[in-house]
Amino acid sequence: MGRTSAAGRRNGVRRARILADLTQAELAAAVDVTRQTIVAVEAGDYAPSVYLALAVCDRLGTTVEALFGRTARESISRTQDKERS
Amino acid sequence: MQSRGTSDWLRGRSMSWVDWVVALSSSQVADERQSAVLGQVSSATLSMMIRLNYTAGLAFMLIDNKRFEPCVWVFWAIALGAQAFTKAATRRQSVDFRTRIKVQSWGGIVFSSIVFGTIFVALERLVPGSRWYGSWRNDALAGAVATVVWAVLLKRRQNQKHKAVLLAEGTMADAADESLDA
Repeated sequence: MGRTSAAGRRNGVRRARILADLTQAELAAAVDVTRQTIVAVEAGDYAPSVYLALAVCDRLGTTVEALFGRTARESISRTQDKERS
Repeated sequence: MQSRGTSDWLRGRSMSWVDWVVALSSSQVADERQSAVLGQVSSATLSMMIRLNYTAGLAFMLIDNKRFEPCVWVFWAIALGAQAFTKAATRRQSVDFRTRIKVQSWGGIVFSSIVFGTIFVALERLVPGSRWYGSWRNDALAGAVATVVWAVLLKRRQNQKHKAVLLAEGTMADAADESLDA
């Protein structure tokens, strides 16, 4: 398991981006990465560096803990469980 | 890799030829994920090519050592050179791949080499059309290659065992943390 893998961990980037009314391409341009990297971060396939995470949070107006912390993952898991049931 | 070399230069540190080669050979990538993925893939490719070099060299030596020997020396020189350069370049970045586990005693390595060399020579004599009889230099070379292969295999096995123990300890520690959180 390398640093590029986030081991399928969920995060709140997608939700925060939609709330901020941004497309993946717009967010990618704002933080100076490719759109594929944003896709990978949202899907939990890539763990961003602390600097990229800070840039994403800065652009989305939130904190790293809110997007990538344990509470964010638990919140998303609960929402997905509700949607399934 | 390139930025490290450049920043070293900007901070007044001396850049060795290793840094220059790494800087010249580094691909330009768009972002950190591409850089990370390219690094992983390049590492896997290098490892595969080195193994193929050793295997191909051994195969050619078995087929007709007198005919292919010069080529095989080049194969192995490239493989050893690539490994040496990788270690030198990574050590410049404070990454040391040397194992911390002592895998095998010197006696064990010598014994393994002798066993492999004996089997190798016996097999070589069974190959039809082979002309490799009683060359001590080639036998010693085969033994040396066998030593490296054998040590790598043992080291990997021990590392995997060590990793499994660490993972088990980590899982237990996580469980303890979660119980404390609860």
